[in-house]
Amino acid sequence: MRRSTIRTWYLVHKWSSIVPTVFLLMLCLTGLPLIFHDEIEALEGVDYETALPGAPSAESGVPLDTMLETALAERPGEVPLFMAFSQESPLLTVTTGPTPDAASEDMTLLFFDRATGESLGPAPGGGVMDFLLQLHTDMFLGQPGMWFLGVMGGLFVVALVSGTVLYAPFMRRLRFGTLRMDKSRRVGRLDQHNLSGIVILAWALVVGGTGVINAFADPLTDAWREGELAAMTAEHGGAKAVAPADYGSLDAAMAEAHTVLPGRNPQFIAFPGGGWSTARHYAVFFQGDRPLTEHLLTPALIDAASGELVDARAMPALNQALMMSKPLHFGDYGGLPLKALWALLTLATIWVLWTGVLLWWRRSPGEVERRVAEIHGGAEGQLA
Amino acid sequence: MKPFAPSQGRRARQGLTGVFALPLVLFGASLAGLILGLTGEGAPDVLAWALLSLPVFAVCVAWRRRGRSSSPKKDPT
Repeated sequence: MRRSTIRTWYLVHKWSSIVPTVFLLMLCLTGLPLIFHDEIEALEGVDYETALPGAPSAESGVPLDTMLETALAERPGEVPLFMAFSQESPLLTVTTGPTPDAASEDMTLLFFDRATGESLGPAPGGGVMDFLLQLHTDMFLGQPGMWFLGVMGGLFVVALVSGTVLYAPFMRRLRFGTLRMDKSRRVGRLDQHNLSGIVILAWALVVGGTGVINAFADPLTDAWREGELAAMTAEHGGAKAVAPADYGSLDAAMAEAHTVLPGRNPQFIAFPGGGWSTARHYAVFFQGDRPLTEHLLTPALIDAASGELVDARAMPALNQALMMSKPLHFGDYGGLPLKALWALLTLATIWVLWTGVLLWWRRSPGEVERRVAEIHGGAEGQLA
Repeated sequence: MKPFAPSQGRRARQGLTGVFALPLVLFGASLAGLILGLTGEGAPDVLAWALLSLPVFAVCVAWRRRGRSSSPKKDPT
């Protein structure tokens, strides 16, 4: 690699790292406890997912219309926005709000046991985990905060790629895994930085990349609603708004949807007028029927007034990728050992960031040229 | 060591393949582990854990061997 090429990559790596470092450290530190949110919530005694006995709410239980009535009785004057199902327990959640297009901060999430039909009260919230999640998602700055963190994640990906490019010339004369701790502190740190960075590369690219996708998820959902969903309804006479008072039976809608997607379990129902449906339809989101396709949702649109099925069409590839990217970002899909590995790899990421900060902080004048020369010549045992 | 190998006077150089051989193995193993974990419960999960623990294992091995300024042992030919 030519010296000037190395110089360019070095500067790309330097700046794409320095700019987002503080935010990436925050994301790692808040993400660490979030990996174990299920376990932490279970300790706090709010883990209904494993505590409730009975059939999964996605499969059977008290009729949905009865469940919705119970929910609305708890929030008089409000309208239903979402009903979500569990694939493991009778837990069923209903989200209500003052209007069909209510903003997320005005929504209320209620928990129910679909096996008994009993209310479990409002979802516990406002705890430490909620605070961490909010900080991790948008730093309490709403949509702009989310996009900002998305851009920081993008820079992280650039830093990973440029770091890998520089790894090649630097390591020409070193064995994989060399940690020259017997040399100067800087050399030891640099080797630790390079080794941790290269071994976490795949994981960090996946978690970083899916984090960026999640940060820009809302526009993707909007695009799907305004494109695909609008096309589905346009073919069936448009989507004239239907008032909450005229909403028809949910059980009938679900039965209708099952005629085209038999044997599939629903994940959630989006009520008319919100971000996930049209002004006129119930959108029932069904999971795939195999483990691999479980995270890929197929929405079925049902006319909320007449109960007639409009269409069921898989979401576009980009939105499918978005669905897949959630578990891949959270690491909560493969049991406790996977979560433990997720935590270890997060710690390794913190180490890469921290050694990177130290390498930059302890630099001396004229360091760019000397570092470029070091990478260009390939690091050696005697170089210190 | 092959006889009559030209002496370079410096430590042996590796090509791109040499530099990236192990990192590529770890990269592939991590990706396979991440995706396998998504595909099902039971055996795929266990395999996913095994594959994804390889990067952590690599760091542990390197840490145990730290301190030596090692480089490829083979002479270039």
